[in-house]
Amino acid sequence: MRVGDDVVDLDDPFIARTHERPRWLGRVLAESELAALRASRDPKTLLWSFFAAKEAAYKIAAKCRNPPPFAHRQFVVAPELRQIRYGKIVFDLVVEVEGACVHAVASTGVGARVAGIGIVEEGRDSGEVARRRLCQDVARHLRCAENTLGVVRTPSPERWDGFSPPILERDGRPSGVDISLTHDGRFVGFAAGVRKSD
Amino acid sequence: MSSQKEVFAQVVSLLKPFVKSPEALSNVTMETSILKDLKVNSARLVDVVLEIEDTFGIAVKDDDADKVKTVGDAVNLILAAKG
Repeated sequence: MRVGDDVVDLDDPFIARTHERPRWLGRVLAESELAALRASRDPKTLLWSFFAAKEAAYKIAAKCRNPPPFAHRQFVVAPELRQIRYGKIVFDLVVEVEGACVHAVASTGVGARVAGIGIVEEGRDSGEVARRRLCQDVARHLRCAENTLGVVRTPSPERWDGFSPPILERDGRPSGVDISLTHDGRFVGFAAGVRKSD
Repeated sequence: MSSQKEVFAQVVSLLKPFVKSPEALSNVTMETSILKDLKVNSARLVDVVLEIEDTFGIAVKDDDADKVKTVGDAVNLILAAKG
């Protein structure tokens, strides 16, 4: 199972009115999503649910050897927020909204999805909080000690941040559990795709 | 026609509202990563693309927007579009 996730802090003042900006929306949303937004009683939350879903699905696509270019409009979210389509590829989707936190998890393949969010206290490193939460929850799922798990990233100059997507190791070796980490504002999110045999 | 230096200065200026740590702009070069070094997230990057379109009077295609990783990528995209 492959996973990708994305989190959005709805209290970020920068995005307070984005749902009212037609050009921005036209650049990011497909026609069906624009129609859904127009009909929505909470267009702000719906917009950022769409946006997080697109980012989450693209994180899976970006794990390919030759990632496609990312154009938000080409990732189309189904009205019930249960699927997202990119061309002929359909990703399963879960979008959860808790207070001001929107967390989207996209996945492909068979397995169990382990996912959650966390709050970053001031002064804490968001990456560290996300890694810790991920390892805690996956360790519980796999019934192993948390300290046997670790997240590593290898240098990859062609990637936007110079590193490959994160890998979960167990006892210092690749675990085979696909993972995704995210942060925005006060929130972190994490997701893991655990095979049935794990 | 605008020179690379002029376009670079305009790009740095239009980035200011979208950068989370403005001090990061003090040492910007053509190689500076907009996402990693300036911490412009992907939602704000959409705003940056719209600002580029408005400031330079050009249309930026989705595929071209995706190639903008560094300040230099943005400058070169603009220079190419303006011929």
